[in-house]
Amino acid sequence: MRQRRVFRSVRACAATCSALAAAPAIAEADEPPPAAPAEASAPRTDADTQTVTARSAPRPAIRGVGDLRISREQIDASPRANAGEMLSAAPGFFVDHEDTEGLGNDVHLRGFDLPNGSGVEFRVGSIPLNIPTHVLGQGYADANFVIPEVVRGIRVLEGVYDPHQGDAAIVGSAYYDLGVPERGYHVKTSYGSFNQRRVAAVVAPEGEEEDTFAAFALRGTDGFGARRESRSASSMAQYAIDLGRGYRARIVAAAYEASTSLPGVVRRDDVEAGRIGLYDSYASAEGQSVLASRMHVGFDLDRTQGDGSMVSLGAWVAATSLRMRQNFTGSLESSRLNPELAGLGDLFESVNDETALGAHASFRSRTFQPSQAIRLSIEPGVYVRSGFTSQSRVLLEPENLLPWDRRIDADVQTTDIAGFVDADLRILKVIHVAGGVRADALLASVDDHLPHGISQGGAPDGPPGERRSAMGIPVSPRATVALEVHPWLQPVASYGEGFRSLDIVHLSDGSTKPFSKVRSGEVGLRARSPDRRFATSLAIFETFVENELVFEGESARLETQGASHRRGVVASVIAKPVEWLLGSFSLSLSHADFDTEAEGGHHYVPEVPAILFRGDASVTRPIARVAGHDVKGRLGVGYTFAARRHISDDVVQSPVSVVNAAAGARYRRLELGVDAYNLFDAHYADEESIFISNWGTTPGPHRASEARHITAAPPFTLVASLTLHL
Amino acid sequence: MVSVHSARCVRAARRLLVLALVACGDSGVGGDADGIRGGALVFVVHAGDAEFAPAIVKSENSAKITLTLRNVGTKPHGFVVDDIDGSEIAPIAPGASAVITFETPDEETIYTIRSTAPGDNLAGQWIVD
Repeated sequence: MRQRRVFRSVRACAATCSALAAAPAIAEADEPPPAAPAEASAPRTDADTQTVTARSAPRPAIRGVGDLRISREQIDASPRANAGEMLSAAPGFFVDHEDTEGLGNDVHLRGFDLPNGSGVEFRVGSIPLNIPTHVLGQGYADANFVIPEVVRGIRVLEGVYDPHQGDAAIVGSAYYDLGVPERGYHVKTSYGSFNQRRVAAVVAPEGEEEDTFAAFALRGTDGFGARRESRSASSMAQYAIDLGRGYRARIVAAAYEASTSLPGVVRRDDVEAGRIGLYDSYASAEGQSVLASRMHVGFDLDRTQGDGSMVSLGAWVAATSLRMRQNFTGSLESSRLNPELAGLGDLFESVNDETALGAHASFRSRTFQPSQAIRLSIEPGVYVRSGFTSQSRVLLEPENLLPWDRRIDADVQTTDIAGFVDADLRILKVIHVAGGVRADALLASVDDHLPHGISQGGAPDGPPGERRSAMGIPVSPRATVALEVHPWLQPVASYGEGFRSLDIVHLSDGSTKPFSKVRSGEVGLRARSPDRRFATSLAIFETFVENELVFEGESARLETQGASHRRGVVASVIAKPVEWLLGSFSLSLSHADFDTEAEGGHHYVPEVPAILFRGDASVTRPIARVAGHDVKGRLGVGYTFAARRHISDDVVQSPVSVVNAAAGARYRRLELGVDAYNLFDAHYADEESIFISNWGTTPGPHRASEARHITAAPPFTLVASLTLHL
Repeated sequence: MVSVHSARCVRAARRLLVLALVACGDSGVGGDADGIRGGALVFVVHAGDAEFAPAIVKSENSAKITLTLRNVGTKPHGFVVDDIDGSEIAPIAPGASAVITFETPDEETIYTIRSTAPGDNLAGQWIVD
């Protein structure tokens, strides 16, 4: 009986790790976060599980200095409003705080500014979230449909050093692991600033595994300024079952819908002159909004054998829809299709509807030991994704939302057929080499409904109905070498190549390179104390990107630009000196510029903070005892400092310094909490760009001029919550 | 071996210097700032007695422009974009039209549109981005 329980625990551990990485090899790919013993990937905490896991699984390979598992404890160290923001718990990640719904968070990592997550490969379980050719930018991803209460942990990979990483992994990956360790029924209600209200319910039946749950959440807010009201609904369910003989199956489903009004930008000169408030919206900036919906269903089947080998198979289907209406510039546009029309308003409506399906399979061999000094396991695998997308981009008249020009109207089909081999080689118990090679055959075809010439950015010069296609095969070698010179010190060196699909609508027919490559290298150290209460890392990185994506206000979307490269340093410290205290601190220094620099100067990649500091600290311990039961208190503080963010080559944004804080207490089945965002009410720009617009605060037409344009970050926000654990 | 080591040191020092320079800012870049240029665009501008319509025209830099000027007013009007070669249209009679082609310059800025007719105050803006 005891033995059966132990095997079940081993399988649960393996499956959980697999869920983190969405591929079986990654079940052994990483160690638990050193300073967080009760970490996300260890659903069973009994001694049997830990003992057997340590005996049956070889020490996992790491994929670079920034290969980390972020535990729930680390995530909860300071307030984070949604699943996207949870990434800010990872050293080196900076995620903006959004008050709206339906759009992915902007992420800063290793010298990259990644609007809507493009450039970070996101997965929930084994379901990939990035959309390779999205109308708002390649690799668009929104993880905010994930209900935060069911996130057990996140595995992050900073860099592209793992052959499992697929399209859109330009700077790294984030894999959400879903599970509810505390079984039972949980209902959380929240209310706060700006009439912000939220209800979340989680059902985690007793007797089922942590992976099994159902959850539902509703959220609404009036927003912190003009035209910012939003509402959303999300539902998720996951069921895992142990089928015996090493087989384990899991099915996950998620659905989400959101509707948000957008205020648009305000000109800094107008704000400074007092003509408009930072949180206001121009009267003529009407009609801006986001409408998003999505549904995902995924199925995974794994078999773990006693010799350490593992077979994994999975399939998924996703339907996503996004309609965004944005006006950044006022009324500067002229119609391409009908030159008689001009100045009717630059309200762009971008629509991206995609149905996609995919599958993955891999087989991790047992560990071969040709000699005492060498141990080797190999994992070949395949991955396929096919997407059917309808894209459009039209100009609307803001007053009546009638279209007056069309810039994109196309059906796009994309297919990615990938094969990879991943090896894990240990030499003399000191040298650890992990890596392999991945090849993706990318095929894309476009049925362009607009006349030829429009998609090339000009006037029509041909009939509509053109079909274009492109195919290319990026081959991506990736490897990490780690030296275990001492049990607590690991020098690490990594090299990897990744890729991102290009905007197929603007590619010419017959292109053999519908992708942009990234080459990344790093050297660094990982160290931890023997008792695993202190961990630190240091990475020096350099990354080359063939093709940069930069937000262009004039076109209200990400535009392709030239090659760029980054270099910098990321350092982190995670400490848990006593059981009730956790601290996590990271500092990132980076430099990002285009390779096409002018003589005597740098052409900076905009929006990238050169200096980024993030610190989280939390205290969790009993604060009182009532009727024989502890009252468990919680206090957390998060601090972010971002500076030297170029918005042009000459203009640097003011430093941003933001403090978030949380406090809470739990007594038996009742939990009260208060989250404060932007505690000191810093008024700053979430995004700031320089471009030409003709916004004005008085009626009538206005002259165009260049200005700094601001999208405001949320001011001080307080949210109180009450949770019942039944 | 020593020289290789020295070269590595120099490279490392350079990289550290670059990181340090991040905090110091740097000079700007003229000309094309966004890396997007070219294309062929067609515009129609109506010249009334009070204003050009549209009064603001926007294009990429280094774009081939075909522009039709239609005089919808009651007196002669012309057209020129200051500092853009080949953009001039001599005054045309009311009801008449004229077509020109020209290429926008590399410099991304706002250029001034005005009428070439003597005493005519029509004005507008041509944005090259």
